[in-house]
Amino acid sequence: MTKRMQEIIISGLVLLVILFIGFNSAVYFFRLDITENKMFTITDVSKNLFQDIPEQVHITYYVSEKIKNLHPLPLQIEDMLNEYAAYSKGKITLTVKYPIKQKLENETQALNIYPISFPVQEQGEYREIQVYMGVAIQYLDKYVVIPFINQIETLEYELTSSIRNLVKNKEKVVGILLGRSDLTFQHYQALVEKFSPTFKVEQVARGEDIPENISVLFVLGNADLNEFDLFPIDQYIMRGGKVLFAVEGVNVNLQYMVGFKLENQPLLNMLARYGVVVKPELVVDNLPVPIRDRLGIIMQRYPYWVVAHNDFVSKTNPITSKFGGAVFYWASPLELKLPDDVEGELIVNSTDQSAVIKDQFNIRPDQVMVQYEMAKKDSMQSYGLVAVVNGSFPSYFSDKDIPFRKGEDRKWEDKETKSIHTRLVVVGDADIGAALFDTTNLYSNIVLLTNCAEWLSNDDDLLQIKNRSAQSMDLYKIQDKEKRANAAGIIYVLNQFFVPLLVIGIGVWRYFSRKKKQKLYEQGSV
Amino acid sequence: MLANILTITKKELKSYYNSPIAYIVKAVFLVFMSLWLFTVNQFIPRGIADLRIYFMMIPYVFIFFIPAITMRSWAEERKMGTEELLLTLPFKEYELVLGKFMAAFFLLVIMFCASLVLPVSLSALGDFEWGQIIAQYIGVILFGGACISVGLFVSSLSRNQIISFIFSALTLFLIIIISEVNRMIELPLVIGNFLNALSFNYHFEAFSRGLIDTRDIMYFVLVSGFFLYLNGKVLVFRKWL
Repeated sequence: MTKRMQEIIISGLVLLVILFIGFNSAVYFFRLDITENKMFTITDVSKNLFQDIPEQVHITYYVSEKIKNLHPLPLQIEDMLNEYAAYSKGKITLTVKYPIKQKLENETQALNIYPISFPVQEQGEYREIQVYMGVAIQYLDKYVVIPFINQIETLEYELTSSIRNLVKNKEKVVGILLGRSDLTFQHYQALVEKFSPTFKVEQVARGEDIPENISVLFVLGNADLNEFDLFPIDQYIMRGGKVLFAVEGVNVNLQYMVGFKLENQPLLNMLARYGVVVKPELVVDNLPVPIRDRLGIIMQRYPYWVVAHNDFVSKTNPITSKFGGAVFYWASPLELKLPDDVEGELIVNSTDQSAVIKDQFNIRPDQVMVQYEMAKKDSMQSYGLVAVVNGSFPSYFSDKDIPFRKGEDRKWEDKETKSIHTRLVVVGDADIGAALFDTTNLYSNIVLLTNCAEWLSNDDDLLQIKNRSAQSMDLYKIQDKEKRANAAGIIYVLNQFFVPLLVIGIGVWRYFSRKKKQKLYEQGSV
Repeated sequence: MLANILTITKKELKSYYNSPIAYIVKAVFLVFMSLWLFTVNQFIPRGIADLRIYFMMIPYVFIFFIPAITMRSWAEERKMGTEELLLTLPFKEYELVLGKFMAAFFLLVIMFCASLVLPVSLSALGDFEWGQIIAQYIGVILFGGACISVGLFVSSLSRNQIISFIFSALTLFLIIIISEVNRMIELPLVIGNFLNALSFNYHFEAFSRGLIDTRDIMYFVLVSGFFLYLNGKVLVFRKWL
């Protein structure tokens, strides 16, 4: 064999080895996220999602091109979608489309994706622009659409649960039953929007049987629920239904800025029977509350709004193991007095600096600090705010007659007196999911509620998905306009002129020093 | 072996720094990138502490800057007739190739060290994600290494620096932007994935976000290794001609 032939064969073999290593590295790989907040790390549940996907899932991200240069969110969304595609071993594909540039308005309309007003900051000034930022997930001939994504915190959860539900053809339904007449379904619109597309949300009427398709029931508020309304809820639980109760021991009247105790209230009595006592008191605490305004987040102290701190939550319960915080509005303390066959845990508590106000609930912001300081003297400790209980519950109506409305035919004839094994969550705050949450705390209340829904519906692994923290990524560290402009000017001159001139300067200096050396050398040699 | 490589590297680096090319390339690069960031993209008025827009431009800048560095490596040796002399010295072909590669690579690294002034100075205005910036720098260095190996290979095929520059730029342009075809037209998935797998830009994308993916590292290392190997073979085959 000639040497040339040998070289050709070796070259071919080297090419084969390179291809072999290349293919192997594509199969056996890892991705290292070296960003401080692990911005791009998705949880194992999301990474391993491809194992549940028999056919290919197509994700289409519709985004306006102009917003990409004005706000970090669109790229963060694209990054996360890219992570799904990167880990999916080809089972998830991502396409980014620009509806305006590519004239795709008809396509987006068919998917119910429309441009939405979005605040951006330019030259330090805020303004609103109309942008697309929606996602369509397609599996075979089925679609799930997230029409507009306005925050990154809950996106991973929404994507993973949507893909999983789509692939498994499983529809989870949350029933919402309102227990306060002053609150309508509209007050929970933001909650409902955040629940979809993971859960389908249906309103459940008071005093009606709970429909069979409801996976989880949310009872929001309790002030106006009577025993007739409670019977179908109790029987739903007896049949193994899973329920979250967001309740209050003190009803707050915002018009008069006072609170009224709810004593001997039927739903609170029913919960006490299941093992959770909601006290007719209000928890006060000293942690400042994040309030969202148009300039961002500001911190304010209002002791009746209680911030749940990470140190005072259960680390073992899946709902709170990745706790991202929550704010409770006029919360009542909870206590566990568990019946036989029931286990329970207070999974979210106020800090050890909190106290309770037992009567005369004056909720005016200018007077509450004084009340807090007084309450602290004799009741400072940590109080339960969210309880989980599971087991076989005794019916609230086991030793009571089946309720009926006067003047109406009897609606129910039979009752169950002991439940099959099931789970309940009790939150000592009837407002936790109402519109108020939108003004505070960056959706962590919603994450808490969706985590509760997942735990109740037994999809515990989805609870691994943590609440992603939103990081400040602006260039406004220097607030003073003049100082900022000066700093910007210095940075511009430094990078645009000084550093390049320095490089040229070094070159010139080296040229002349070489010339000098050469001259000296020539003189020496002469 | 290593001593031989380092000897070549030193000699090449010296020759870069004895000519104005190294300084001009560096200065033009820094001016251009600053213009791109501050003037074209209005980085400070936009107010977002994310340098991705800066790093995403670098692949396109490499199309011109890397050939400017590598065009003279072999082409000039051939033109001046020093290549034969080099090949008769007690160096193996791969030592010559690696020496030249290391020299151009160091030049690139030094160029990026100078660009570090940018994120450091900008950090006075906002909190940058430093992990992301470190990954971006690792990415451009690996990317640059792969581009240099392509440029050296093309230079080894040519006798003329200008032709070497043009062909290197064209080759890099094709390898860098090939995945963009996917954005322009809807291709069958297999073809789309194949084009992505070949594209430098596609493999740089994760680095630009702050992610270090072993697939991308391996890609750039293998591409660099492959073109350097071809470069060595060109020298071997030329000996026989």
